[in-house]
Amino acid sequence: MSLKINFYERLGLDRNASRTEIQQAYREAARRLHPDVNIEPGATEHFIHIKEAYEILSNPKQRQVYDHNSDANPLASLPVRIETLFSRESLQHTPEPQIIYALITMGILPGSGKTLVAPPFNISLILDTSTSMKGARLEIVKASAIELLRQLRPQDTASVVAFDDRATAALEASSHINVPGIENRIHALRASGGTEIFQGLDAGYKELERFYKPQHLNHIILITDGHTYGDEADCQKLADTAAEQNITISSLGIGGKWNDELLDDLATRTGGTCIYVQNPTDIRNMLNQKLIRLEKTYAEKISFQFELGAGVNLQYAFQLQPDAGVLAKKSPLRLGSLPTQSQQQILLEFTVDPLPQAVKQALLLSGEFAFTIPSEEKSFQLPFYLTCPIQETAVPAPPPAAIRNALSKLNLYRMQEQAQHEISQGEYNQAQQRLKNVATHLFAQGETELARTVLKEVEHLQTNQSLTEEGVKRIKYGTRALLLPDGKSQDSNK
Amino acid sequence: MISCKKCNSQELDGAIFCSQCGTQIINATDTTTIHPTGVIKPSGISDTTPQFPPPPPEFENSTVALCLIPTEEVIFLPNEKSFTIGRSTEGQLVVPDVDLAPFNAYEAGVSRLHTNLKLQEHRAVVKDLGSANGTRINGKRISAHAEHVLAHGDILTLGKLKLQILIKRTAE
Repeated sequence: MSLKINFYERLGLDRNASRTEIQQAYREAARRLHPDVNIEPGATEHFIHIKEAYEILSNPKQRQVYDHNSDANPLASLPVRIETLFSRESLQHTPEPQIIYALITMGILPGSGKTLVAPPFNISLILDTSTSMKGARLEIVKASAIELLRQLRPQDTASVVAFDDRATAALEASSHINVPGIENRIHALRASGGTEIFQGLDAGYKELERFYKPQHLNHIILITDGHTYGDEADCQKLADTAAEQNITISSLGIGGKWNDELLDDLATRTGGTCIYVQNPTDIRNMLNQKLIRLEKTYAEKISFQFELGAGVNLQYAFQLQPDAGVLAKKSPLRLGSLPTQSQQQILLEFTVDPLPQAVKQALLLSGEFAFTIPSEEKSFQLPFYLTCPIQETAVPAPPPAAIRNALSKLNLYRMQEQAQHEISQGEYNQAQQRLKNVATHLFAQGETELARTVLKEVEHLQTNQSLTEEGVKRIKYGTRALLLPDGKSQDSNK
Repeated sequence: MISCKKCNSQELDGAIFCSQCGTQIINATDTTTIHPTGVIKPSGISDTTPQFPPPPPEFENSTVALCLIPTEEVIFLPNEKSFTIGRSTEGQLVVPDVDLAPFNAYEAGVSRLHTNLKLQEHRAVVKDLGSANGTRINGKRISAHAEHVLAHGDILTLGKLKLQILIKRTAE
């Protein structure tokens, strides 16, 4: 349990609780958590926190002092609001574990972020120039890179690193970039050699570090079309180092032959994004959107650190906005940035183990949201916890539409994930059936094109016992894109 | 535990969708399903040769209505731009906008999501959504996923279920 939770919350009470209620709550907690009866790890600590709260609140004088000193509503002074929706109003006492979903939305309060001047960007653009990029792909990437540089402001710093099995800086990190002066150097890049992503990442990271300032917007953008072999662990280690400094790594993967698992993982670790580029001509657009997004950055370096309550497991964490992506299943969740005119939205799936009869409220998690608002040079830590009452209800209320809608799409993403897993285990029939189900639901949701792609892959699976590499990505990123607020799959988003 | 009505897989309490087949496993829908509003009897509809019955008086806010030939019941469609027509089953993920389940749609071979009907300024366009038993206009089978314009009085056959299209005439 985080100490950031106030004393009332530790006892599961609100500020108007009477003395008797405080006493009752404490006795109830003591019966459950006293080290003599509860040997579960963490229970003792839990109990000490509750005892501390009780000792203050049960004494009217000390309680008054505590009430006076503690800000009654820590959210009141914040420029953002955080709202939580649960899939159900309460948990029940059941002999089996149960599921509860929480949809957490962080939005900007009206009036905040109006006069936004984005702090300087510090961007490292890492381009794959391996043999497979030869031809139109590389030409488009080069042109897109130059266009991105043209749009930078004098105060922004950027570097361009080209890599195959070695990396070279086509543009060393600098500000006041004279684009015409370096255009030739970028145009001169030729495709050859293999793909060693770590070489590129490492060189790009070093360039980024030269102008690294915590208050700037530090981003690595990797554009690749190939698999890297053997250096995945190094990439992950580098991503973790970057994440510690709040540097995000975003990737654009072109075509079917790149390592989506690795690049997704790098995005998850750093709070970046990973986008599938079906058609290279989309790259320009996507880089543009990235830059626009950066310009609109209101809050940044958003992370959520938490501890789960006793008997609570986090089964799945997914980010729905501003980008759709899988989150880590453990603390901390790195959520990237919050652009103006958008919001941060995450969906968490918990399972809760059977609860002792005496428990009337379950603590799902307690933790802290941390973020910075670069334009105001402020950072915030916001205590956050999720609790859910336990009640016997005859007819549970239907879940909120927002959660149901998100799940109707997220479930398809998870089903294709499951199908991929089944294919890797050789369970082809199950995978086929599951993908057919995905297609049916896609048809029903009006996603005809994506549904056809899935059915085509089912045929391929029947004859070849595998999916096409391109198909894997179209299905994965297609179903993922359904979760975005405009709900369009990337396939139809041209 | 809750069991999925479609594939019988077991899900934990609190689950909303079946993790196996993707079907929604709890009853919660806020899509408003359109049911027949009343029974009127347009006369002289034969199965094969479409007649041109006058639009029923109840039209008021609707542009298009569907007349079920077997029962001569009329379903008025609100002026929305696009509808799905099909039949609902228990535990179905997406319920069609126009639910024909009460009209023995299952026996007639209507798919869960059979066709889509789009209303465009006094014109109705129908598209078969890849239904199992197909869609016919005046007895002629139409290809799936292609749009076909409907005229007032056309007979639309979903599987074996016959519907006559009634379109309100413009400024008479």
